[in-house]
Amino acid sequence: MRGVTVRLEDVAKHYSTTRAVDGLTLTIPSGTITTLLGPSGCGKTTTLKLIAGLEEPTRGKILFNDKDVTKLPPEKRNIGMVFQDLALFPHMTVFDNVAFGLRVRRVPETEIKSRVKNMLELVNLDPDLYSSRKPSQLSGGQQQRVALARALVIEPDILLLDEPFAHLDFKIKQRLLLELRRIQRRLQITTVYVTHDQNEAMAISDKVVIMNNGRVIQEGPPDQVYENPANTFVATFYGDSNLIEGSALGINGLVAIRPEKIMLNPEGRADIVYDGIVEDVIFQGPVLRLEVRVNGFTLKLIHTRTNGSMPRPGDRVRVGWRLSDMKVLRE
Amino acid sequence: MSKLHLAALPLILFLLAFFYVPLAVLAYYSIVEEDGSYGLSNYLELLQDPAYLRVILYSIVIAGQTTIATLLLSLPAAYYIAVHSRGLEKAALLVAMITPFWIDFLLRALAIKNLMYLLDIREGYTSMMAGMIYDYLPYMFLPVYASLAGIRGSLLQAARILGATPIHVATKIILPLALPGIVAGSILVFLMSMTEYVIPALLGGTQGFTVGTLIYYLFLSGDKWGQGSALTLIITLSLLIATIIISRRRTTS
Repeated sequence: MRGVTVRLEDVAKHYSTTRAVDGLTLTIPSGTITTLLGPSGCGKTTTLKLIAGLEEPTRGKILFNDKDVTKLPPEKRNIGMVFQDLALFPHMTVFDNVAFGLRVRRVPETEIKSRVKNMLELVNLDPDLYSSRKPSQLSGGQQQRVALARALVIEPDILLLDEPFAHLDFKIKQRLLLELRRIQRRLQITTVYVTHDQNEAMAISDKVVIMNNGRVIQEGPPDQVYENPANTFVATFYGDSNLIEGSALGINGLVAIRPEKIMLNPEGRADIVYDGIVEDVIFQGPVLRLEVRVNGFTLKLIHTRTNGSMPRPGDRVRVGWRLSDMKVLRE
Repeated sequence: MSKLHLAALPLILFLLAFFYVPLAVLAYYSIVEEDGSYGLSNYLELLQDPAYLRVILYSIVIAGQTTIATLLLSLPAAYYIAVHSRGLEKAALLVAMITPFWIDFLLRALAIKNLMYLLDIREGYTSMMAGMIYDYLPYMFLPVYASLAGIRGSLLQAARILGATPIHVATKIILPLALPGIVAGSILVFLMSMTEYVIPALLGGTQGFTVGTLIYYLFLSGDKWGQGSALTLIITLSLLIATIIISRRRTTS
């Protein structure tokens, strides 16, 4: 059965002293990658464990395609999960790790052989080369592929990933993110990806759920949430923002503007223009990160270099933006 | 070469003086025959006399039972403490496991004797086994606990999510990972209980005639130093060879 929609209805998980998840209502659409994004302690990993059945909610209901699974033990939920520490079985070979879920299901050994082989190929791990190795003989990225293969080979209805790439180098992480998305698209499996890294969330998600203090703060497609942050938490945690007191612009409330929306020397393209002095310049290859002192506050801006010119600290510049790029926040 | 080998010298000298030189003396006594000439008749007498062989066999059975009993007691407790308890509970349970062994083992053997008397159980098999198990428990518990302490909770959760029942988790994850500790603990307990003297002598009564008490008898009551030496060497050498074989197996597999 593919295409499982996961729904959480007013789910709470209270521990003796903390409320890890506190009244969570959430839909994870079938066949999508949905990312739970938030700072550590926001309840995202607990939410994942509740979906997996490793934790039982204090209150509320968990539904897979309208079927109530709240009381179902983990081994009966047909879920694939990749843990933060991967949790590969250290005493088993790569083959035995991947075959584990099939063996406990009493799948015939000949079928296990072909399914494990196919799955290792799907995650780009040469079965002939790696089948008989132990996890300790693999690199971090290869261990990651084994963990993914082990989770997927049982043909789960739902794939859960708990910060799986947190310990990897930037480049390997980028490649594995792309591969994960390719595999997910091919298998059309409902996937929940937990991370505290906004870049991972933006790169991989069909839907982003931003969490804080055990609650959902905002959800939606990654670009829409980025363009329309609902409050200061989203505006500053999910991408960066300049927060400006509206009174300085004659607006009630707090105004957020993304650094890349602020133009350097806009010359007529902007609705609002200020004179400022460059305080700091960080060179980042294709872009420059600038801090510009304007009217008593500092603006962060990202400037794409189109010619060789490079502002220096102390330079007098003009900065400006369009009114439509400003977002007035709820609080 | 560094001069670090000097650091090991005091211990080597100590063991030479109190173990290896006496062992060599034993080896010498074992080949001196009753008439003062040299030969192997002490060994031949031992190995041809069914009474001696029966004592050796009985000691193997007692040591085996002690090993199995300490393992069956240690494994579930070590598993619970290592994997499922944490914080203060874990610390308290560990201390509780080890505290009894701060008391001298001779005193504990005498205490067991008196406790058994209260239950109206005299010296014999039951008292002796109670004493053996009590005495050798930490030598099994600690290695088994150490091997289980490395198991992360996520391994067990991963197995459950993959569809494993609790029995699968126990047989395919926990036992294989605990195996090095089980083997180390079993070797330790078997070897030490095989040659145990005090517990069978104090608590065994008529059932206490093991290799340990037999060697004592040959030397101090029977005045048969030649046979006592031969028996000591046979037991020491066969245990040494068995240990080498088992640890070779472990490292090559």
